[in-house]
Amino acid sequence: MKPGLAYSSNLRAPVNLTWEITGLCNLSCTHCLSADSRKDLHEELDFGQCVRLIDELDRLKVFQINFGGGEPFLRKDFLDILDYAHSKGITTCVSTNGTVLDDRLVKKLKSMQLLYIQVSLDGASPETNDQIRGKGTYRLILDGIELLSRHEIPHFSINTVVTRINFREIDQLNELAKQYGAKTRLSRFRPTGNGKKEWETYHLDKTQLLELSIYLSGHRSVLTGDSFFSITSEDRRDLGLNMCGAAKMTCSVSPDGTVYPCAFLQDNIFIAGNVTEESFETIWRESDALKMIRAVRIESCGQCSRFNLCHGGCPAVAYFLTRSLNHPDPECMTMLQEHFSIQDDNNGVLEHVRTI
Amino acid sequence: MELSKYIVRPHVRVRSEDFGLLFYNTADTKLTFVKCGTSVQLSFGDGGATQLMFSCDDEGESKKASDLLKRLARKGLIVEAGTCIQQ
Repeated sequence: MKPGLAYSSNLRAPVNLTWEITGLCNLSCTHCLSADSRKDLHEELDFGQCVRLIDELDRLKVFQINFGGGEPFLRKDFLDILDYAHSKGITTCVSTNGTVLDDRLVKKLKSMQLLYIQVSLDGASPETNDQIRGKGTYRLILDGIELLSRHEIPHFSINTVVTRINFREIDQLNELAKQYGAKTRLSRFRPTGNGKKEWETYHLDKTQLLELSIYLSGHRSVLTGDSFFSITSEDRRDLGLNMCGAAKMTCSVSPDGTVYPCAFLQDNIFIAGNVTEESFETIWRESDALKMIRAVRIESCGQCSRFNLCHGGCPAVAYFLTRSLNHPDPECMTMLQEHFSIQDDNNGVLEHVRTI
Repeated sequence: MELSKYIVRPHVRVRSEDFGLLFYNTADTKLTFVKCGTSVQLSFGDGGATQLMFSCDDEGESKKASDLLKRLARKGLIVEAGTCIQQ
């Protein structure tokens, strides 16, 4: 009886849930993952439906809700939704663009002990950030970050989606975050939503991917997608959880209640159900779409020396680039290793294995 | 073998899974997977406190359970019942 290889059967419920609480947004970011799924901005769960979903998540003991959007703070009842989730003991993480934060709102947020807040910033300079998030947004976002810092919000991070546009500013972004007492999180750019259109322009080339991996290995305090599940990479390996968490540890709910395996897997074939039509528990346990993702085994990765480190990587990147789930992540580190003819001296495992 | 009674700390949430227990620490969002099968059960009290109940006649298993509970206490996830909890 000891902590050990635990993950051999499905969890009874996700550990956390990504919930796009609204489609409303005041920005039009060029890489927005949700942009092309916003069919009707008014098609969102009403407050009563949100409460019922939170009640069910509480009953299932889902620990954390990651709220995104759209811009969550544009939804008028969003603070009430947060209060309700906190009253159930559920931790929340809100991803905001930071431009609508004001003194009154931040004071209210400070009173929420179970709140983690993440502000998106896509460059350490106005030229870079505004190219992606829109003209004039750098100053507005910095104003929001300054407010959070001034009010000493305890759980506060700055998130950057790493692209070719901002790649050279990563270290400056990390320094900027430190200056404001925030953590840095680097997220992977994926070909979903608007990202499909921008993939060729924005995605990192192989040299940059390797440089990024080396940077991350040297800056362990920088959070990545790896830290999403709050388990160290060593623990993930020990637990057998060193794989994509979609449909296994997490899933996603869109503004209208549609459930997907992950926020990055929003395509018709991945629709698992809708919480307005059936219980979340039924969807989690019985949906074919979630079972399909849980069953993904990438044949060509089976013999790879790094298989136990990634289990084939991100299915969303593979799917949207190849239209197949039986395809390794195109940004796989083994391919990089082969590309650069890097000598491995650790049973095929690259020393610089930290990725986003 | 008499086992100490433990309760889950107020900032920690826990649920049962097929493999045993899954803990979540709200202070840092860290997860702890504990492979203990059904030997340690959760009991939810009226006051909101979650208690860990252990049942096993085998002395060897009881010793393992005792060690496990002590490890979880050292991690700050549970505390021996009767201990004053400072939030």
